[in-house]
Amino acid sequence: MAGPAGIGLLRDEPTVVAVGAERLADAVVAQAAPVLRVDWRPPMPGTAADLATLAGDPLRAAANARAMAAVLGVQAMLVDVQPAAEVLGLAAGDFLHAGPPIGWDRASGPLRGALMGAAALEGLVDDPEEATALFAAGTGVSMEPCHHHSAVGPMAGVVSASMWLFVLENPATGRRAYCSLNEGLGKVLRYGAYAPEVLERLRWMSSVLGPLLRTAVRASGPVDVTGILTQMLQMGDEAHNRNRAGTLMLLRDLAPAMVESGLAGADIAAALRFIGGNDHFFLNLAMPACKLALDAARGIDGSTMVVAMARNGTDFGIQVAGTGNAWFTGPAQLADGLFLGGYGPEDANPDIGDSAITETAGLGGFSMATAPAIVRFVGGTVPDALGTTRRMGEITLAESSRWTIPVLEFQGAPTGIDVTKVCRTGILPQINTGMAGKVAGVGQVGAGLVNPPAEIFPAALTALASAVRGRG
Amino acid sequence: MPVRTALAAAASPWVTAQLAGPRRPAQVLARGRSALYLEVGGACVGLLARAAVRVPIGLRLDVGEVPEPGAHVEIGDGGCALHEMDVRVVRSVDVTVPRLPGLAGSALAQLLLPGRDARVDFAYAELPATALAGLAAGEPEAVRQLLGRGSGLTPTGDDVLAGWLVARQAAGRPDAAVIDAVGSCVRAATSSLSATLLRRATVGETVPEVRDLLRCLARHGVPVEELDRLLAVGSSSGAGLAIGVRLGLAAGGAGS
Amino acid sequence: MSTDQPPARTHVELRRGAYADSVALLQVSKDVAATDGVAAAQVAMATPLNVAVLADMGFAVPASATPNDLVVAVRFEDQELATVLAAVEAALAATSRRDLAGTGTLAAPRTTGSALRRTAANLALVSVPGEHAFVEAMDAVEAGCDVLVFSDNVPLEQEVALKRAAGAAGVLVMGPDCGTAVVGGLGLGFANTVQPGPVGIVAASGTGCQQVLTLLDAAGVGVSAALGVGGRDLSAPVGGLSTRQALLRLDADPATELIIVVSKPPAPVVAEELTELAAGLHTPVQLALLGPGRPDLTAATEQALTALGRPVPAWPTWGTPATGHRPGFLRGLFVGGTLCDEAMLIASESLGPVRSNIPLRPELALGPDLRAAAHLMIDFGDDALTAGRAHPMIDPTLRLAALAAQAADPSTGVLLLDVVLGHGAEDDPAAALARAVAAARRAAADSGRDLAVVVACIGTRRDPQGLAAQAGALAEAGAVVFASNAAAARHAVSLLAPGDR
Repeated sequence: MAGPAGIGLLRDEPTVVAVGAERLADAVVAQAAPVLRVDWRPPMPGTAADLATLAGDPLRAAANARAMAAVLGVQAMLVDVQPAAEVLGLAAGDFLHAGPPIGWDRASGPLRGALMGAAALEGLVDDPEEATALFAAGTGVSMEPCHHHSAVGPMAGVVSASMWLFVLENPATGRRAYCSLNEGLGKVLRYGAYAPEVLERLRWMSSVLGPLLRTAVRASGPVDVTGILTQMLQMGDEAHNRNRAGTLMLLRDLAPAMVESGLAGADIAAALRFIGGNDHFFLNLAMPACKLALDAARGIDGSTMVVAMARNGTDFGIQVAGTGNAWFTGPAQLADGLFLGGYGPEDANPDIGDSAITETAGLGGFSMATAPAIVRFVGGTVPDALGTTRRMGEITLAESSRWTIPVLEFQGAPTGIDVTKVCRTGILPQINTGMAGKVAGVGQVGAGLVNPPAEIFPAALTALASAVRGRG
Repeated sequence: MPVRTALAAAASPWVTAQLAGPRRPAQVLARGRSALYLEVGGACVGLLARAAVRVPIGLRLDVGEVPEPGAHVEIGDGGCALHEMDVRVVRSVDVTVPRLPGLAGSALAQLLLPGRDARVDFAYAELPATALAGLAAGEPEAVRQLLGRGSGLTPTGDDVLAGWLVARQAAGRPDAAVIDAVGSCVRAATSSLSATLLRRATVGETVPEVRDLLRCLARHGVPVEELDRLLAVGSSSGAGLAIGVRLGLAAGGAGS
Repeated sequence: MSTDQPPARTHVELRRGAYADSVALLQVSKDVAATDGVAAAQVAMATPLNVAVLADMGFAVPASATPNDLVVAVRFEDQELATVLAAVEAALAATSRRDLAGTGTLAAPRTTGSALRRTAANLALVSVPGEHAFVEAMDAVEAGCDVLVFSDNVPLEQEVALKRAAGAAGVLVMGPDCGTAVVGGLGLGFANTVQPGPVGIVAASGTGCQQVLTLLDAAGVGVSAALGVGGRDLSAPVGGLSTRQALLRLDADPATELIIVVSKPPAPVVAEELTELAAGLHTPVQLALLGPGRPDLTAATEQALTALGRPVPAWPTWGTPATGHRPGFLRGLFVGGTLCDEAMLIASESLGPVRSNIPLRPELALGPDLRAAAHLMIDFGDDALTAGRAHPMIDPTLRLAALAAQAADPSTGVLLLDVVLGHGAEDDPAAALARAVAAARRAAADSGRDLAVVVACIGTRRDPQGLAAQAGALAEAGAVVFASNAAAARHAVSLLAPGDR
């Protein structure tokens, strides 16, 4: 680039980027000079003044560069597996959930179902149905977002004291992030199911799977989850709705230590069968790895980067690096996708789960191009998948330096959603998601694609602009 | 009846002047995906797609590949008529070297020491050391030893000579004896394309990469990136031009 | 139709080794379920979960099924099994369709920043509505790319912020409201086709810049670059930020031997800084600051030519110069604001006050009807006359109407017009104007008046419209045409009766 003493565009043939009137770009073409035209459209209604304020914020560019460097600098290592009671200090009546804060009164069916199941799991009630009164009264129980405890949970995301958690750590800073163990597909607590077999599986996970994994992780040493994510993307996983390669690589890393754990052979076999039979097992490592990376960017004044997108089944919320712990929320949307069995759109609950943390970090829908099969959730095509990743490039700050996509010539995953770019282009983040039944206890009914509600981005933009003016 | 389409081009004032006058047939001299060279009346002009080396005798087109010339090519009326395509010059570009404050070439000489770049070493190896030494001293005899020698569409010896000529122009010390030698020998000794480029070099016209390098030297800079870009020109042309510029800016010769 | 069949039939089959991705199979199931007569369909790998789902749907999956088997389960009525199975085959085949059309096509970038990430551009051309221009231009500044802002109505504080950020980044901002620039021979906005050469221009005025460009071209002198800086750049609030940057650029360019600065007189504090900066440059700077008691643009260009050691030519004219003196007023109708300014400065030296919509002094302002029983000059490019319509260099309607009205006014002695050629302007402005001029002169002659029409034609021989053809057509219609706007204004003044001067 030309410094003050350089001559910049006087040096060579002009190569033009044109935004606005076509006539001016046409005139450049008519003079045999190359021009790349911007498909400019007016920004989201009412955002022009705030966008100008942020464009003029002297902190923004450097703050976003710092936020991006912080995110890309995190190495997420699986260092331990422990019960929530021990690592998060949860008592029997404490429950974490996905998404922004919410009370029982506004909680959706699947979130209620998961809370009811978890209450039974913790022995607060004998029958999950009895928990309704407990939560309605609110005595002896508490509900808080996972995100407020450095944790993330898929779908309902309910975490209670006896559940075991993956513990991920960034060795450079010691910062940690947590996530529960994945239960598999079908009738599972995270989709709001609480039938006896659901609770039975959870008890097995706490009594057999968790301790076995702890022994294995401690024996084999930290597992480089960020590194596995790098490899997964080369193998057709986008780490939200496809985690097949990641799950098998985790198994490869932990199986020897599991076998050598000295625990009963039947238990080890059951655990190996359980993990190997659940393509989504790795999701619960991908998510906290993304959480750990994004938490590194929290609280950077002036940064317009989204550090969390999360849904509780009622509200969709985002948090932004430059606005502290504020949530900007709007109604969670219904996913567009395909349904299991005889279920249809009328059975589906609005969007739920912390798993959109993967998209926030550049995976999932943002890396759709590396997992084209996912596009078929909405009857799409391979070009759609490539187009989605490229489109997400329009609203992100950078391309990941380590997560790359072979089919796009190893272009980096589009990373770091920029609130200003979303408002300028009107392009909403594309999220891959599972769909929970809207009635408590039903479980999964399908999977598909979903977007955040548009209005939360202008709301975040206004808060960012107010902060700039306040500094002014 | 084929529909004729118009294509805009940017070119130097000299190229534009070659296209003036009545329509007359031109001969296709050389043709590739990114460049098409035409000859008319002993001079050569080129149609250049985006990827082509931007030689000073070119009509620069904003296209990926040069169009089909077809059987009959004509130039005249300020343009060039190919099969189903009319190319017109709509923009004038500067292809001349900037003025240097004297012989400011030491920064370049440092960058061109042997062993630093294989392309430069290869170009040195292709040419007789005595000819290079002669050129550095401004001896017209060196012209005859270099013309047409070496590999490439423009022989390496011609590239060195072209670099030398434009460097002398930039330094404000054109060398009449060498220019005369080029003028009298060039037609017989080398290709028509290379001969035209050499004639244009005698008045200081060259590729943008040489202009950039000289601008950097004019600011007393060290042209590391500029030299990188120049060495990437053609297969051996960039190295030949760089060596020529270096020799042209070395002390010695009639002008010094 | 047989009535002894149950109303719905089910079919379940296992296919060994027929693996397909579960997501693909969801689509297959959906496609098959959409077939006429099919009530329910599941095509899935026979994992325990899927077997349970199928059981819930009432399908009996053979106990021998393993997760490596593909299960096809359909419930259908009023339909042949073969038809249903054909639908299954078609849906399975479609999962591997090779419709990759469009994989290589890239959607256009949606922001300037995105475009600049895709290409190594060295100039961003911004012409979005004014309230959005700052955001796009800042993308360019952050990418280290020079930017030309054609948009008008950019708030002043945004212009200042943009230029400050650009200065810190070493980026040149042309504009806002920059109508004219030439870089690498490329004309941007309203610009003329010129030859490469030794003169660099920094211009706060578009048509002023075009006058200098075209006169230099007529003198056979080319330009290295013409950098527009926007009409407000030399005002006190902006402080000449872009002018400074442009001067430094041109000074660092060895091809530039002389720099001409074209502007109205800057704010005093800015003028001081400008003079100081110019004095510190290696390249000589010729100021062409249009104002009372200062040289006009033609004179400034002549000084520049002399400084370069180039001969000053006789500036071209076309048509037969009119003679004699007429009663009445001078009426100037302009598309170029600076040309209008220059003509007013020249005319008022001998005619006294000239009324205008862009008056030299506030008390000379015209009313909204743009009429006055006085010498007057109208700039049709002024914001008030372009709101909601194209610039008069593109849409001549308003000026042509005014021309007819002024010609019909018996108090009009001389009509003074400008025509600006080049990129961006009308394809053939002389065509309509020549007809209007001829009609005006005829009508005046019919009522016994000798209406003189004087035109300044600002263009070069290589402009798309061609200077000679345009000027020739106007001369043919009876106008006297000058390449120099100042010469045109002086000639127009000379044609008025001394009593009216």
